[in-house]
This record gives sequence, C-alpha cells and structure tokens, in this order.
Amino acid sequence: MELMDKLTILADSAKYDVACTSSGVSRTGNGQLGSCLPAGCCHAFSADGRCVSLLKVLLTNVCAFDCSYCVNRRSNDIPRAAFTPRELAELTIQFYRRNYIEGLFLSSAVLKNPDYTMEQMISALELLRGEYGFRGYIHAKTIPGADPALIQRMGLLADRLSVNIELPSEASLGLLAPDKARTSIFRPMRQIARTARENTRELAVYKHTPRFAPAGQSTQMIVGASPENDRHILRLTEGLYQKYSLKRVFFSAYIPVSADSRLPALSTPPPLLREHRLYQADWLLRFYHFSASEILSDDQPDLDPYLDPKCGWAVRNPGYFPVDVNRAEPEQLLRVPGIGPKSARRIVIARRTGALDLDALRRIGVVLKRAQYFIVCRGYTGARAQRGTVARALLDPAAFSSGTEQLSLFSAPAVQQLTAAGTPALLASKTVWEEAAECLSRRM
Amino acid sequence: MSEPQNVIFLYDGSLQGLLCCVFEAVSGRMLPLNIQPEQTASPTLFETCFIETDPTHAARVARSVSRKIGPRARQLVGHVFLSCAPKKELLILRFLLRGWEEGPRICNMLGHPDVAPLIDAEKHLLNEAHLLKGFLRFSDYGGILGAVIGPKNEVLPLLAGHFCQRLGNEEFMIWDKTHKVALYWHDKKAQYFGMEQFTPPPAGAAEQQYRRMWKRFYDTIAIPQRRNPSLRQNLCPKRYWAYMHEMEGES
Repeated sequence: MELMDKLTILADSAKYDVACTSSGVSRTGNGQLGSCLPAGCCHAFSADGRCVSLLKVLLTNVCAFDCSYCVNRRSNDIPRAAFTPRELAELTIQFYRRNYIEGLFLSSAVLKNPDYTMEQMISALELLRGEYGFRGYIHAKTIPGADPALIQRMGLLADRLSVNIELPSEASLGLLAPDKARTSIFRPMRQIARTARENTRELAVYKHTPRFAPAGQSTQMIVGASPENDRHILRLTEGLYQKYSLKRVFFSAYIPVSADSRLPALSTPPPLLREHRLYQADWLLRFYHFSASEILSDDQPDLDPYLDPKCGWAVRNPGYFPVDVNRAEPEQLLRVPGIGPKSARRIVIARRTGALDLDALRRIGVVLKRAQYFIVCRGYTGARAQRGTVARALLDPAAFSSGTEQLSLFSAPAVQQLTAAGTPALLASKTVWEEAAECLSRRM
Repeated sequence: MSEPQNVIFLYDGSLQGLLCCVFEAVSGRMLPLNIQPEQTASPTLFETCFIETDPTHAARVARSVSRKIGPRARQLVGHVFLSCAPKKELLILRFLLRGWEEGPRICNMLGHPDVAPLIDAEKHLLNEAHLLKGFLRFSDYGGILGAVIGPKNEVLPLLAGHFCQRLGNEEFMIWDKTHKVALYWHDKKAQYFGMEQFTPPPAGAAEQQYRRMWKRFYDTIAIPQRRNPSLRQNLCPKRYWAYMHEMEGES
C-alpha cells in the first residue's frame, strides 16, 4: 500500500480524537531537531475550525475491540492499514522540518492485544527520540489494559500521555464499550499521576533524572452518546482534575458513526453548542476558581444553551454584585461577566497607579457591554437599566447565529428545530432570541 | 511642550533615527505634528525637518529610557517600533515624554491614553509573531529550507530565535516580503540582509510529494459534520493562506 493511502486511512481514523494541543513543556533544540513551546502552537486550522498542531494518526486501525461508538470497531467494514515505525518516524521528521507540525500525536487501535500494540507504538517513539534525535512534542495514547511497565516506558518517551475515559459513566461504558472495563481506564490514569508526582520529587533531587510525561496527562469523553447530564459530566471533570491532576479534560460532541439501537440516530446533529458550553464551564473550573457545584445544581442539572455559564452564575447571584473594580480581590474580579483572567491581571496592575474609570477599563480590554451591569468604578455608580436590556446584553449571540442568513452549527437546538420545521433561519433565530430574553429577564 | 508645532520630523527609518527625533523634541522643546521615515513620507504642506541620525544622541536617549523609565519601557518601545501601528513614532514619543514625568510606574498605567495604544500595538505584533511560528511553511530546496512570509508587523527578529534553535542543525532562509528583509541561518550563525525580490526555485519531486501528503492529511483530519468555515477564518485569517500549501484551492 502507498504511504499516501496509509496516511489517509490512519488520519481519517484518528480525526475523532479531540486533543491536538502541544502545550505544557518547554524544551530547546540543543543543536538537534525540534523544540517545545510552553504555550503550544497551532500550525493550521482545519475546515471544522479545529487547531492542527500535531500529526495526529493511528499506528494502525486494525482493532480487536468492538466499541459501538467507534469508527474503528472490529465489526465495521472500512479499509484497514498500519504504519511501520520507520515510515511514521520519517513522515514526522519531514513534516516537522517543513514547519507543518509541532510534533506527533500517536494513538492506535488494539492490534492483537493491548501489550503488543503498546510495544509497536513504543518502538516508533524510540526511533524518533533515539535515532532521529527528535526533540519536538509527542503525545501518546496509552492502550486500556496494557502492562504498567509499558506505560512507564512510554511516559519516558512522550511529553503527554492520555487515557480516554470515552463515556462519562460506568453504566454507559458497560453498554457501549463492552471490551473496556472502568478499571482498565482508571488504573493507568492513577499510575501516570503517581509516577509523575514521584518524578517531580526525583527531579528536585537530581536534575538529570529522565522526565516522565512532563506535559502531564489528559483525557476525553464523548458527550451526547449516553444520557448523563451536564452536572454529572462537570463533577466528573472536577474530580479528574483534583484526583489525577489532569492537565486537560476534552469533550467530544458525539457524531453518529453507526446505526445502533443503543445510540442516537444517524441523523442526529452533533451537540456542538452543548460541547461549547461544557468547555466554557471547564474554563471556569481551571482559570476562574469556580467549583462544579457553583456552576450547576441539583435543580438545574444542565447548562443554559443561551447563556455562557459565567453569566448564568452572575444572574443567579445578584447579591455578589456590584463589584468595586478598584478594590475587589482578583478572584472577585474574575466573577464579573466581561472580565477574563487577562483583564483581571491588568486591572490589578493598573489600579496601583491610580483609580480606574470606565474609559481606562475599556482601554484595558474589559468588555463593558456585559461588565457595566456588574461593576462600580471611579465616576461610575453602576448602570440603571431595565431587566430586559440587561438580559439582551448577556445572551450569547453565538447561540442564535443572529445576523447571518446561514444557520451556524453552533446555534441552539430550539433554533435548529424551528428551521427544520420550515421557518426561515433569520426568523427562527429572532423568535428564539426574543423568547430567551423574555425568559431570562423574568429570572432576574 | 503640549501643543504640537506645525512641523513634521523625518528620520532615516531606524530605531536609532527615531531616538534622535525624541532627542530633538526634548532638547528643542518642540512637539512635532508627526514623525515619518524619510523613505515613505508623503508630500505635505507642513514644514518638514530631517533629523540626522547621531549615534551618541540615540545612545543618550536609550540610556535615559532604561535608567529613568525602566527596562520594560525600553522593551515596549522596541516592540512598538517593530509594529505596524499607525503613527507609531508619535505614540512612542508621547509615551516617553509621559514616562520621563511619571517614572517606571508609567508601564503599569495600562488604562492611560498615552500607554494603552502601545500595549495594543505590542499585542498585535506578538500575536502575529506567535501565529507565524505555526503558519510559516518551509520548502526543501535540495537540503536548504526556504520560507516566504508577508506579515503586517516586522516579526522576523521575533521569529529568529525560535527557528534558529528549533532547526539548529538545518540551513534555512526566511524572507519577509513586506519589509524586504531576509534571515539566513547557516553553520550556527544567523544573519539578516535586505532582499528586494526572491523567487523560490521550483519544488523537487520529494518536496511536491510531502506537500501533497500534508494537504491530504489536512483535508482528512477535518470532520465534515462539524464544518465551520467562519471559525477557521477567525483563527487563521485569509492573509496567511497564500503562503500555506494546504490552503490551496480553499475559499
């Protein structure tokens, strides 16, 4: 088989993996090929708007497992291929020196058994790191059920390891992925977290200790293939960050790949807006000092499609506002809709030189359209506005794809349903917009 | 010195030259209406005055900036000078005049009208440099790598360190088409030189094959059910597409 055909098959099989990040590790070239930037680097953006940072391929898509949500499942009739370790290493190097990519993201279907697959992946990575002296980024996926000794070896070659949780609960996993046990996912995750902690201690004593997965570990789960609500997913996410010190949890809106009575119908559009809201909530956990229980509660188990979760929290907690921009703690500033980590940091620096007014805040980069209803500052004692006006300022325009003829994939389900029933796109988004604004202003 | 005089300063286009304009403004107690590089200055009815570049004057200003306003101010001025902000020379002059009054705290006055535009210009420059670390494409011409970029800001000095250490064992050239400058890395040494025109040689068979494979990978990795051209264009603006092989034929 031609290399071009292999690349096509094995990239196609890998495309549903979300992570393509190259962040979390800093390494210089040192006279060899390759380096790593701590912030990561996107080399292209594909037609779906996702960042392409790494050469994301499977070593092989020949699979012994039969997970119903996966394109590569044993029972699916698709072309199969496998790279030799040499082919893969050569391709990575040639793409890398042309600056197409930041490194390699190597995953694989389960060829024969998990251990055999891991050994094949490790030999490809050894070739890259050893013979080619490659110092760029490597993200490797561990195979559920592999021997801990193999995970150890892989962690010394890769910058980031990941184990996919796949589905947000054990029940769904049992139903849809009968070959993957919950323990086969959490055991390697625990091992990676523990080894990384020990490695940090050893590095503190002896700086030439080989580094184990310096960019940490990540995971991903499919959203919309199984019945879990957002609250369940967010609490699970929070637990993963706390318990296994994960660097990232990725969500992947389920795209139907097979007709199966246990799964959503093939015509179901991927829940992209829900995925987007989950990422926003994930950011609140990681950068805004929010806890999962603040973002969602028992009586509100799902994220609001029309509001970003931070605005949602602000609307439910009017007693927290107004925040005095010139006095508030940084954590308080971060709770204000329209102030992000960057502008909060700038406010803290700038206010030391003198009290800030609205013009100064605007110049600093605060989004006053939303923030004006939640702050006071020099010469400004807060906006006097009707609830309806505030509601309209807070609604997320992306959910309505307002102003465009063409309906965005991100628009809220209600808008999609109206258009599917024959309403013109503009009218549909306007109707839902008005209803959402009315509904929100009543809640305020 | 707050009222601008009806005079336009011209300088040789170098940072040293601009610092001499600052020297002139301070020593002559004269705030010009504008400061422009001589090469690109448009004809004007206002009086123009060419400021000679005197290295000792430039050094005096640079030293004073470091000492009295601080190293961060020096860095900010350097960055803004590389940026494409309109009237960046005047922005720098106003910032420095304010800085000599306020001292190092000026760099923390992020909401001040004499400071915020510089922070924005710097952000634009650094952002473009970061994007180009990813979007720049090399081609292999018989073992030597060559790339062409067309940035708005003068980012080459910011890209140099990154590529020289990443591709330390390679030989390469990056040509900045907008600013007509090239960076050449060979034998562990980097050098810049002016370059008006550069036509890349035709790509060899292996090069063409890798470009095809990259294009194929790029096309394959997108998920059709998630197609979102406007999101892509937000993240990778069209002006970079002409230099990226994978974007050929995209719209």
